[in-house]
Amino acid sequence: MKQAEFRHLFDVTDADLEQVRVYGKRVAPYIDAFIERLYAFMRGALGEHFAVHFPDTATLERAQGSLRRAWLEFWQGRWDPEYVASREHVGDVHAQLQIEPRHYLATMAHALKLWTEDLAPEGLSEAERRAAILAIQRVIAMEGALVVDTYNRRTQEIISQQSRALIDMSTPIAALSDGVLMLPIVGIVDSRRAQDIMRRMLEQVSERQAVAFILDISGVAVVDTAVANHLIRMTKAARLMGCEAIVSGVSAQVAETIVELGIDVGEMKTTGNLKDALKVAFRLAGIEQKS
Amino acid sequence: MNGDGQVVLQRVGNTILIPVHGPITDEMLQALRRGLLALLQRAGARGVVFDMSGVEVMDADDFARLRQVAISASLMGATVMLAEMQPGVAAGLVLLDADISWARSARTVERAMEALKGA
Repeated sequence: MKQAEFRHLFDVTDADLEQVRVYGKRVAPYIDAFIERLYAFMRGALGEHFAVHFPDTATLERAQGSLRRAWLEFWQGRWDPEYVASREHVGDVHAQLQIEPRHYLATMAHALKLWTEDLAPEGLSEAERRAAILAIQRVIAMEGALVVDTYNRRTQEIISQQSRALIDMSTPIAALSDGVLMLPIVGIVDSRRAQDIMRRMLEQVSERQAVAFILDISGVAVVDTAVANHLIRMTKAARLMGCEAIVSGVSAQVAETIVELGIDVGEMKTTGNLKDALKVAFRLAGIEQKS
Repeated sequence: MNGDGQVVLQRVGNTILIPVHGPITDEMLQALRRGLLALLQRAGARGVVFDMSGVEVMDADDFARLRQVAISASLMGATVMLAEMQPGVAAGLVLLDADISWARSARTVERAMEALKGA
């Protein structure tokens, strides 16, 4: 679908692709000279970015190798799913390496100039040359758009992943009443985050003289052995400090998992919902409640 | 207890309050146990409160030895409570998988005293 859409947008006909193939046969032998000149251009044009993207000879050689392959593929004049996927991969790689689209596009523009002027094959009539250049321009523009599109999408994915991680990292501890604190845990609990939560939790217990602490796990994505052990540790440490931790939001599924995994929850207090946890917490804190 | 191994035992009503200051050594714990048991034998007490606020570092072995002191006191009829443990110490003991099942804790010395009134 994307394949067809791009061809339609850039008006690339079968004849254009044929032009690319024919021209490609003539210029492909110059691929080594092309690579050398293109990297010379990049070294000059990219300035300090060049050293960032190609920090050592091995990286440089690897990049040159894949560029060589990419251009030999290009001269096959293909626009099939496999080729589209390979160009999307190029976009992914550029996004991951944070190579700016302007650098990619500038390099493509220079590549076009190299192929059609500096390294242009001899023996073509002016009309043939012109027709070939127009076709190649269209195909290169289409390819560039695809790469930049993929680059954008990938970058957005990276950003939203990071912001999700950031939200997950936060541990908003709320004081519900004198001596009663609550922390809703949302997302994924790995050992690093569990330690972070425990540290924040104990600090707050000490600072606010809490006697009850509700850990609400209804937003935790997966409760497995590791997560359960983290929770048990948190409640133990809180108890040592004289604060009773109550784990609330234990769903039927989580309860089942804990039993199936054979986890010994020991003296950990758990409740199915927040309401019951609040009752327990307020009783511990000696706060009267209306029934 | 202070730096030169002297043990401080404060009697507050029917309870004995023991401020613990790190670093914890064998000599210190021995002196503490002897002093505490002698006091319990002489005058009796309903409860014993260890004020842990002065302890910055404690490993699982220290905690196990403190447990022995607590058990010997409870053999003489006193209920033992820990109070005001620092967050880092609590987290450390749990991460070291120390046996904490014996310990009763309170957030503050006042709360410990209150809890022991009903004991």
